[in-house]
Amino acid sequence: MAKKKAKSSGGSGLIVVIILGAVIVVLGLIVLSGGFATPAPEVTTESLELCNGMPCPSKGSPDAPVVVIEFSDYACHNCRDFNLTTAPILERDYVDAGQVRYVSHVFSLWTESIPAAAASLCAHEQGKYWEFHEQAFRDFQQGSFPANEDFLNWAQIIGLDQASFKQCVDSGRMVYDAQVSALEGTRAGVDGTPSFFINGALLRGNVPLDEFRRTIDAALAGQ
Amino acid sequence: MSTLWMAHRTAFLQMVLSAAGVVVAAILTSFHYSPATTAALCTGAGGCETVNTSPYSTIAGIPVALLGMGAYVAIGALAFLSTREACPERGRRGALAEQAHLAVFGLSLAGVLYSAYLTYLEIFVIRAICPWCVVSALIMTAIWISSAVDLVRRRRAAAEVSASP
Repeated sequence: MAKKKAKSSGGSGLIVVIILGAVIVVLGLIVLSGGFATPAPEVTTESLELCNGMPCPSKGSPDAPVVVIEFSDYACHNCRDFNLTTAPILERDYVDAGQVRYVSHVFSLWTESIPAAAASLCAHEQGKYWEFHEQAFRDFQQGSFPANEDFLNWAQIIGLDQASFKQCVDSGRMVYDAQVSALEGTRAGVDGTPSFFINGALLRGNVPLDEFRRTIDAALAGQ
Repeated sequence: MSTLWMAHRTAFLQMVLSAAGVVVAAILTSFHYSPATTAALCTGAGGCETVNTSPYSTIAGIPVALLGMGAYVAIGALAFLSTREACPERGRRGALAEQAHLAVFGLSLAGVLYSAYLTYLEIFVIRAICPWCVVSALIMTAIWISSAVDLVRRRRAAAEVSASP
């Protein structure tokens, strides 16, 4: 009886094996999740121009004195409003004039909007990010999330290589990049969309055009 | 107070904590589109949505919250099993019941270690805190502490029985 009770309480050797087993399981989970993640580096304007180590989609002169970095979500109606109304005016007045370089980060506020962000990066692979970006906001529907058939439809409209784009979307290989793009924004202090960094200064929301002008003009004057 | 009664009390506590863990994990898996907007800004559901949309929210395509739910269900079942007293006619099932508290100890230890890693990710890598993740980590830690205390108590009781004439 005593021997049996001692066995049921677990010998020291068995407990050591259990502890080692637990450690091995956790290490396995960390490896499966992509390996041990090191602490995030400090965020700078330069680092925000990179999306997972690669240049983010951008337009405008590389030598422009002001850099505007946009964070937007394809399911956010404020992002739609900004991109269809204010953005074209800013592009005409500042980007085309060589005063602003405009950089875009996908920033998924919700898990359901990650596929659209990933699809936009598939379009970026074919050099048509901005066309996809605009088309996605043109087809925006409040409260619903675009699906693969929408992405393929947009791909046809903007003239992407359908087979290559479909393979990219179906494989989900841009999902990680889309998630990292949002993570870079979170680390920089982005907590909503649209958000902008104008030469490093954070501007939150689809603010009136005049406020964009004032902020960009101040950045230009500061050069 | 008998060791058996104390062990049953611990197992009951672990079952309650596991049920709470399942509820928290269910909340974490159900974070979905919940639009909140100010006049000009769209926002998500806060830290938990940020963590859920990060690259660290899945392991081999399986949501971490779902794995956590599985762990809580297993711990709850093992805690229940540990209340079944071993008897010869139960055969292997009886032997399994005898060792169930050890399995709870091992599983909850793995849960605590992985929760510690997830908390590290939230603070230093993602830089966003999910309150429900913190609650889950605390529940798992409470289960592990109760399991470790139970294990020590069982070993002491076994040693006393062995030493008695």
